[in-house]
Amino acid sequence: MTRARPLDLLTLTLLGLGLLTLGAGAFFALTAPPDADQGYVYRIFFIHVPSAWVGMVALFVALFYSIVYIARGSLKYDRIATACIEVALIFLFLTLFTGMLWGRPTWGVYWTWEPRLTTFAILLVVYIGYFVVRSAIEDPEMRAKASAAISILGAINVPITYMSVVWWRSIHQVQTFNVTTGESRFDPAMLPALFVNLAAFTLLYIGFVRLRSVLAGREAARQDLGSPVAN
Amino acid sequence: MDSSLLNNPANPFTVWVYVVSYAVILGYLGFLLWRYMRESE
Repeated sequence: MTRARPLDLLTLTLLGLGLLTLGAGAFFALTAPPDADQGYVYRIFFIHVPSAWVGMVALFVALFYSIVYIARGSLKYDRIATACIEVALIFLFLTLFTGMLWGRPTWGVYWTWEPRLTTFAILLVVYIGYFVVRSAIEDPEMRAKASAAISILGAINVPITYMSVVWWRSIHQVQTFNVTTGESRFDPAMLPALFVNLAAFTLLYIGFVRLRSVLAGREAARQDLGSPVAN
Repeated sequence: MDSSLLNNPANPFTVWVYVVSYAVILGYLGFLLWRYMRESE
């Protein structure tokens, strides 16, 4: 019986710190003062905003690695892009779920076809399609090229989704915390919970992508009949 | 929506969000680590 090789120190550190920060984030979030209009339901934002932030950043990172793959042709970059999109989908589904559970008590509905939710739904469908296409193509090079094309074209919808609340005003409020300008609609007493959770989700995202990429590299090596990791 | 729901710190919407979110994050981490251990053996 052989022992599993330990993970690299950076990945372990990121995941460990991410979990610790997540615990601290839970404490800050669940002790944050109530909102004047939304009472305690607004505490959902402390999960909703960081997961949306991490999901969208992950899609931009995937775009970067997809372009690098097209430029250099190394399957390593395809694996990193795929890991980013897999992790992004986890966080984007959390965004969807938390948004729906916030919408019901505040809007009165779980879902409505307004611009932000519609562009977000398109975003999810495109990146689910990314994995459908990957599973349908056996040749690794062809699969990587098709995946990179979807990642590059799909990323066009990321800024559209992010800006949809500004461009087409509807039921969804504008960004509560604008990560591009730093403009905040949170009371200062609520900001520690937001920032700690943002840090936790970001650390976990990087740790997840590193772990998933290592795993994908090993699976690829095994499929190549025990040869060293391809490319 | 009645304010008794919004003013309840343990309202079901918030509770479900936190329970499911942490379950998904920890579950995904556990799934990756399980696959890593299996792949490394």
